[in-house]
Amino acid sequence: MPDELRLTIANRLDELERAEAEISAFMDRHRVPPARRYAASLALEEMLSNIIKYGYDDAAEHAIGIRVESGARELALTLEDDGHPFDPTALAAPDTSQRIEDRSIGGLGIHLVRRMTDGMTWRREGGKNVVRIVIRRDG
Amino acid sequence: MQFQDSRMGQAWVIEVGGRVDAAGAALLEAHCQQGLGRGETRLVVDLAGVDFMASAGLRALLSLAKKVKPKGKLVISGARGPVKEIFDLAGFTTILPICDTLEQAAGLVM
Repeated sequence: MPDELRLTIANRLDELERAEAEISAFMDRHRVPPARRYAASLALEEMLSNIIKYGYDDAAEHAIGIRVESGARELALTLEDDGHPFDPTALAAPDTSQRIEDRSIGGLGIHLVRRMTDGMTWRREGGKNVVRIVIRRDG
Repeated sequence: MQFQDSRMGQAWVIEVGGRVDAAGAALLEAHCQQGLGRGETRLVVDLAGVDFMASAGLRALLSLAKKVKPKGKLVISGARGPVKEIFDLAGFTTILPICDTLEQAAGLVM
């Protein structure tokens, strides 16, 4: 059984469902515990929708690479896009203590992903953003 | 994604089922918006049947809460497991009323 899944999607929101279905089937095969599946699913949804909505400076079609690796201790999710440079690890956490009227909700998705997963790194390589997210099986 | 509407007194109860991802959040917002258009002001959104919620779902609920606030109220019920955790991590438990059960929520919304 392969312990790695690679897929490529186009930068359209309707591609998220296909990515989710393929990765969900992969996690079934690798017996990922339910709470950790949630974290992986959230990471995928939030990071990909951010890239698709805010990552590009043109209206052209772009490819986004997704790799999921299943190890004995952890899952690793790697996303590659050729959008403008964006480091999600440098984003400040939103002020979650503000009143409902004052709340701005930018950055909330990335904040949730960082809290629900066990590590996120970013690098710019060959004109691409490469984000790697680690989810410990026992986390 | 499914919606089951009912009434408990003056409260409009929406039992949500499925995944509240970006696509689901848009459907949820549109569904609730229809009720607001009919003059509903007291909303209970029950998430007992929801197994996944992303930030788009939280944003939709916050936006609806802001819309009903001048005249009414929006109360969440039934969030469990990681869905409940998402509300906690986002700090939403301090800005939106959240109850364990539908009955508690229907009482609080009045």
